[in-house]
Amino acid sequence: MRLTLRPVELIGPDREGRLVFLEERLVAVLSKLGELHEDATGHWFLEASFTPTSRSGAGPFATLEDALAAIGTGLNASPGIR
Amino acid sequence: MTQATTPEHARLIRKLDSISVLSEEDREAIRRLPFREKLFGENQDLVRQGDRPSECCLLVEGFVCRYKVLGEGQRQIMSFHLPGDIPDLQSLHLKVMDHSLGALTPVRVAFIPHEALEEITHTRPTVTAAFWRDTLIDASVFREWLAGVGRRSAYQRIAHLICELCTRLKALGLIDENSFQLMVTQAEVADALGLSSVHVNRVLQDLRRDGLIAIQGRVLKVLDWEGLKEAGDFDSEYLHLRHDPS
Repeated sequence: MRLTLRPVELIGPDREGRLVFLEERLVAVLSKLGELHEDATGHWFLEASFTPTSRSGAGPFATLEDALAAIGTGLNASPGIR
Repeated sequence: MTQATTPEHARLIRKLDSISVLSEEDREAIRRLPFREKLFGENQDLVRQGDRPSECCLLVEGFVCRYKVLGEGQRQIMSFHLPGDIPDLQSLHLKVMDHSLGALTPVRVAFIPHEALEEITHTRPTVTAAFWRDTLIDASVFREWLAGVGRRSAYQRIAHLICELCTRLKALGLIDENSFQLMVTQAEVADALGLSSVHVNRVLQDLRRDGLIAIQGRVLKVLDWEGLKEAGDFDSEYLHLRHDPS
């Protein structure tokens, strides 16, 4: 399964974001946490997930790869939607 | 002979006074309740889901939550408890704990034997009514939280929780001003309100930016009580206090 990323600017304090696509379909929105979040600064947060088994608000994940792995697990757990 | 009031009994009397009217005979009967005291560290469980307690715990100092752990290890906190509360009073009639009680701070607890509580409920109808009223208010608070978790925004939920804690702490005589020591972490607020700690952090900043609260170290101060109430859609009616302290 190949997930691709597109940069996006988000509203609010954590502006740097990524749209996560499976082929041309949007599956999730990630944000990179800013200084407001102290220990989690620079970590990635799952703002929204459109797969039935991944929970919006999951994370924060230390790296983008970790976040994508969690989204991939959610997609694998719900093959019916692919 | 009149029994001396221990700090433990005083807590319970103060709590029941905030929601009901007790006679001197009722207070005297409460002062005779036996208890054994125990200290717990932060994050320790006082009682666990599945336990069959033979005593109820009166919280004397510190803060406690009711919680359940779900299949994937996620925790849902169902309520926060303050000194004077008996958060497992229902164990008098529901023999198996269907949730756990966890210490959010170091706590001091007075365990009161079920036998003694059963006796007081047989001999003092007003005390029985006060305990019953307390569990009914508990259910009212759950309804309010359910409405919040189901339908309120993160901003409203957090504003509402701050208003609730402030009102309850005042009713128990634990604070005078709209300012209190933060006894819960952002992660615990998140677990209580069905949010992530990232959202809790952002919303606290928003509430500060909007001039509703200030946070200095571990102290949260409400700067605009009416504004916070409006932001949280808060009406203290569901707490059924005898006197609204706000």
